[in-house]
Amino acid sequence: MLKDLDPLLHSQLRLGVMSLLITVESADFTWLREKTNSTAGNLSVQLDKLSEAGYISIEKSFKAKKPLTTCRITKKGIKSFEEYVNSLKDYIKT
Amino acid sequence: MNTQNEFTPKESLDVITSMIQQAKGNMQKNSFYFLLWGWTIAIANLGVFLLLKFTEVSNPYQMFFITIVAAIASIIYGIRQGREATVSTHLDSIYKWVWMGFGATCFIFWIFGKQIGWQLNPVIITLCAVPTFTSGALLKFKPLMFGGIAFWILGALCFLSNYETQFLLAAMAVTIGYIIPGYLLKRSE
Repeated sequence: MLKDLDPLLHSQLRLGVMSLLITVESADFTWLREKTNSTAGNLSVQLDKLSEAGYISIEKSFKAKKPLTTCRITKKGIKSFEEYVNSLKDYIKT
Repeated sequence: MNTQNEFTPKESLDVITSMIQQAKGNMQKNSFYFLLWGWTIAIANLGVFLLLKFTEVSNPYQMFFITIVAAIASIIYGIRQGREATVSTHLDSIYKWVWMGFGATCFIFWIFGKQIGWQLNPVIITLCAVPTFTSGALLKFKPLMFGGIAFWILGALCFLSNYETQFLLAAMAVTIGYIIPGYLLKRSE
C-alpha cells in the first residue's frame, strides 16, 4: 500500500506545505516557514520540487524593495493531495 | 520539520492535521472598516437629522459627501493591507467580496434613489444586516452578529417611521451595528 503513496507528498515538509496551502488561498514564504518551523534553505528546495511537479505555483515579486515569494496550490496539486489522503485512508483501514 | 521519506501513514495524518490546525483561525480581524464607516454614516445621518430638524438648509444631504472621503480611505487602507498580508485565506476572500457586493448594491440604490422615493435609509439599513451578520459568523464574533440583528430590527422600524426620524434610526443602527462591535473587535485584535 505504501507504494501507492505519492513519493513527492510522502515527505514531512512537502506534505506540511501542501496541507497549509490547501487551506488558504495564497501564502508567502515567511508564513510557510513559520508554520512549518523549517529553515529557509530546506523550504526553498522543497517548494521548488513541488513547483516543478506542478503541484504549486510560485510567484516572485517585491514588497517594499524586498523579494516576496507567494505560493498557491494548483488544481493538479489539489487532485494529488486528495489522492494521497485517500490512499492514506485505505492504508489505515487495512 | 525534516524531509525524510521514512515516516508512517499515521505520522502523515498527524502532519496534515497539525498543519490544517495551524492555518485555521488565520482570518484577518479588522476593526478599521467598521469604525471608519460606523462613524462616517453616524455623523452623516445625525448631521442630516439635525439640519432637517433645526435649520432651513436647502440641501442637508450634502452631509453624505463625507462617505466619499471614507471610500477613498478604505481603498488606500485596503491596498496597503493587501501588500502587508502574508497569507490570504478563502474566508478573507468571501469576507472581502461580500462587502464589495454590498458596496456595489448601495451605490446602485443611491444612483436610482429617486425611483424608490429616496427611501434609502430603510432599504440600506435592512440590507446592512446581511454583510454584518455574515462577517460576525465568519469571524465567530457575536457582537457583529448582534449588530446584524440590530440592522434588521432598525431597518424594519425605519420603514415604519417618518422620513426625518429615519436618519436618527440609521445613526442608531450603525452605532449598534458597526461602532460598538468595531471597538470590541479592536480590543480583541
